Amino acid sequence: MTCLSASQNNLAVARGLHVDYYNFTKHSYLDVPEKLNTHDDHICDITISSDSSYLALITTVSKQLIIYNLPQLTEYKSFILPRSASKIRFSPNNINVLVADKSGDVLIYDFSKENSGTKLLGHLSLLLDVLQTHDMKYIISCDRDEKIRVSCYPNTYNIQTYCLGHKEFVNHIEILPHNDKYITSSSGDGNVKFWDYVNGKLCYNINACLDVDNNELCELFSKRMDEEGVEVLNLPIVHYAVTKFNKDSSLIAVTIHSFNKILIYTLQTIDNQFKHQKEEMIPVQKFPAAIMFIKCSLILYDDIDCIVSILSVVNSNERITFQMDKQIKMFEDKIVNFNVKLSLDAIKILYKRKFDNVQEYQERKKQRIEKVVQ
Amino acid sequence: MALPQKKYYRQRAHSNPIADHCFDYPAHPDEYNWSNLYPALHGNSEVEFLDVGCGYGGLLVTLSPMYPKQLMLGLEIRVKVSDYVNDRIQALRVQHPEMYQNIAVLRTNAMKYLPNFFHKGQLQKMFFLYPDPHFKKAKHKWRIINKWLLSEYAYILAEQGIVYTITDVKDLHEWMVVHFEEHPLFERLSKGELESDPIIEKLYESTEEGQKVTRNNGDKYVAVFRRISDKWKD
Repeated sequence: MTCLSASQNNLAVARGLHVDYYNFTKHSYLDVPEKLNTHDDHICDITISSDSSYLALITTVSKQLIIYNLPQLTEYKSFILPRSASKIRFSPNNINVLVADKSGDVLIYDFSKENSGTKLLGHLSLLLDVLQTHDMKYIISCDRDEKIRVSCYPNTYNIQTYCLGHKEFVNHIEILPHNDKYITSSSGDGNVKFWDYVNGKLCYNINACLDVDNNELCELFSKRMDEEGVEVLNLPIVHYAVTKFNKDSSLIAVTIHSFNKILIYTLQTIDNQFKHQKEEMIPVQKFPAAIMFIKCSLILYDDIDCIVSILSVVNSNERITFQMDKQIKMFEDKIVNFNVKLSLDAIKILYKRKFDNVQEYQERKKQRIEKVVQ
Repeated sequence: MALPQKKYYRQRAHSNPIADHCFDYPAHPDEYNWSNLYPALHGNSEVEFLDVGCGYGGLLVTLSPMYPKQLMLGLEIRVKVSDYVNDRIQALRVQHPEMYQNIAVLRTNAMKYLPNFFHKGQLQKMFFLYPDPHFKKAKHKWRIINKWLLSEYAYILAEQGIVYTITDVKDLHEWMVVHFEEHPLFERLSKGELESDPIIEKLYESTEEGQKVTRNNGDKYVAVFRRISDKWKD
C-alpha cells in the first residue's frame, strides 16, 4: 500500500477515500466516490504519471481504478477492476496503467478508451509490484512467492526469464535509475538485489538488515511472527526508493520493519562491476508510511500526524547526508476520519504459515512398518 | 526389498493446488542438489522428462529402461502417493541393480514452483496423464492446463520439446486441445507424427489410472503438442 506519490512540482497523499494534492503553493482535495456503504474502503495505491499529466488511484473494497487530469484534478476515466489490486503504475509512455492484483494477474488499461482492461499474464500468487521497462519490451512483476517474472511485451505469453534468489516475498521492483539494463528489488528477507533482467542473472546483493544496529528488533519481530505460526529469520524491508545520483550511481533508501532509521546507500556500477556504500542512517520520530525520491530529495510521509517531510541531499567531502528542507502539513483544512492500520498487520499476511502434513504421515508409516516387523 | 503395497498409500484424487502447502523448494534451480534423487548418477546430467501429476509412477517405470540415458522426474502433490512412488523406485533399484537409477519422484506443486527447479528450456518432454478434470466450472482455475500455466510450461521446455496429454474425460480433452492450440508457443502434432513415436502407445496402459479406465471400458483421448519458437515480430 502506497499513500504518497510525487513528481517534480506536485505531490499527492491519500487517506481513506480522500486525496490532498499539493502543487507547492496550494492544497486541493479530491474525494473518491463512495460506491459501497462501508467504512473499510480506502485508496490503496496512488501514482502520478512521469509527465505530471495524470493521477491514478485504486481502492480496496470498491475496486475502483480512477484516472484524473492534472493539474485540474478532474476525473478523466474510471474503471471497476475484476479483483482487488495491490499496485498500479503508468507505462513509460503514460498512455496505459498497469495493475497488479491480489489473485496474481497483471492487467493493462488503455485509459484513452472506455472499455479497456486486458489481462496480460498471471502468477498463482499475490502480486506486489509491476513495471514496464523504458524500451517497453518487458513487463516485470513480483509476488508473495519470492518470484520476479520478466515477460515479453506485447507478447506476454512468452516468459523471458525469472529473477530468482529472494527467500521471502518481493515487495518492490524498480529499474536501476542510472542504468536501465538492470532492475533492483527489495524483499521480506531483508535483502536488496540487483538483476540483469534480460538474462535473469543476479548481479549484486545488499543485506540491508545487517545494518540494523539494534538486535532486539529482530528477536521481537521473530517472536511475534512465531505466535502467528511463521518462522522469520530477518527483519523485512518495508519501503524502498531509488533515484539517479550521477551517471555511475544511484541513491537508495530503505526502511526496515520497526527500525526508526532510514538507511541510505549509494550503488555504483562501473564496467558492470557493482559496489555499494552505506552513506547515512536518518533517524525518524515515527516509522514513515511511505518514502520516495524526487530527484535527489527524499520525501517521507508520516500518516499519523499527516506530515510530509522533504529532505535534501548534501554532498560534502565525498559523503552524502540529508538535511530537512521543509515540512508540509497535509489534510490541514479537511477532516478525514480514517484509522491508520499498523504496518505489522499489512506485512504479516505476506508470510506463509507452515503446516507440515508430511511429518505426521511419516510417523504413522513408521509405526505401521514396526508393527509388521514385530 | 519388496515393492510397496498400494493399499497403504491410497489417497483421495483431488488436492487444492492454490493453497499454501508446506513444500521445500530451492530459491533458484542452481541451488537444488539432484544427487539425493539420483544417487547413482554423476556428472552434469539434468532432468529432461517431467511427468506432472505422476500418480503411482507407472509411466516413469515404463519409460526408465526405454530411455536409460535421460533423467526423468515425476511430480506428485499428494503426500502418500508421492511416498508410494518413492518406495516403489527404491525397491526396484534394489531388485534390479543398475536399473531405475534415472527416475525419481518429488512432492511439489507444479502450478507454483516449476521455475524453482528447472532452467529455461531444460525439458525435452512433459507428460500430463489423466489430470484431475476438476469438473465444476468454479474449479476450472485449478486445472493443470490453462492459458497462463502454458506460458510457464513453454518457459521450461526446450524449443521442439514435446508435451503429451491423455484423459478419459472428453470435455477435459477438448479444453486441453483448445488451450494448447490457442497458445502461440505450441502446435499440435499430426496423426502421422504420432505413429513414429514409441511413447504414444505407452500413454494408454502404463499408468494405473489408464488401466482403471480400461477396466471400466472408458474412452481415452490423446493429444500431443510441440513447443515452437515465438513468431512474434515487432
